[in-house]
Amino acid sequence: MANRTLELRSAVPELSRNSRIGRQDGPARLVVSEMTGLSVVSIAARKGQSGSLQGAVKKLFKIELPNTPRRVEAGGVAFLWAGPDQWIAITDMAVHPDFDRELVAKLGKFASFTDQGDARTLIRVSGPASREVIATGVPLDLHPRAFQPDDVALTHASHIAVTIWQIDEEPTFVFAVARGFARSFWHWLSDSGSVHGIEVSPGT
Amino acid sequence: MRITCPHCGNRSLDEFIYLGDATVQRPDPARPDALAAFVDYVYQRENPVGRHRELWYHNAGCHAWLVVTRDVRTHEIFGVEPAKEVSLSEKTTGAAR
Ligand SMILES: [Zn+2]
Repeated sequence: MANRTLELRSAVPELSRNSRIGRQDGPARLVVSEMTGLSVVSIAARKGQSGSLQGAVKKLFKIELPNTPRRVEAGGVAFLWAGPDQWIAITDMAVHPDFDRELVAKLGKFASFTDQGDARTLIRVSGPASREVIATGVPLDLHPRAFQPDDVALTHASHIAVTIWQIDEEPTFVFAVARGFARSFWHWLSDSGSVHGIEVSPGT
Repeated sequence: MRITCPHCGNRSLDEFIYLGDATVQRPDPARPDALAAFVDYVYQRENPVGRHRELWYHNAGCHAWLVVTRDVRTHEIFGVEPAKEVSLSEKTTGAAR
């Protein structure tokens, strides 16, 4: 039997090439790129094991797992709150190619780990119009007094379930969207953002 | 109407799904009148005015079930608790609230 290699393919082909969308004059006020090359693993503490898990993670990664909608990062691994006793861990796939198995080996007693690398699409949105564009579909107050870097929210964007977090004050936001809905998400984002001019730059 | 999820914070109504009365208790299937008790449990609902305890699900959020105490006439919300905690405390105290 022929030896076949599976090829990584984006759920949103429009995000795989440089382009300028919508308004053409002046600098693009919305910048969008897909984040690729990441290992994404969901974590669910086993019944009654949340405390032990948090203790073990603190030892291994030198961080406190957040119990509120926040993101923490240490040593190239980010942990995001994803509901009561649940988190998402994100790291560089090149450094941690089998991150789910790595976590199972180290922490499997306390939690279940599920690879989400091919289940979630991560889309980074920045630029001066980002808050205004996101507000057209996300029912959250994203004003800096209400939502800041490392804040996380589980919500929806144009009726599509998303996890959103902010990574800097520029501001830059990241959306994690189920792969099957990623193109619908892009449809909403590109429609809402085109009036401001969108710069699409391929994933990093 | 907005609901303050104990996990996620103050959120818009469109993130939640309404289930209904949070005061009904699943009967013990071993009790002799279990059939009648289950008919009541599944089908019989009060239609109260004023303050009521209801189950809501944070569907587009943290996926937690919540017990919301709400005035059904004014939509004033008096409290929101994780249903898991309500259920655990009922189990330990052996009493419905
Ligand atoms: Zn919630």
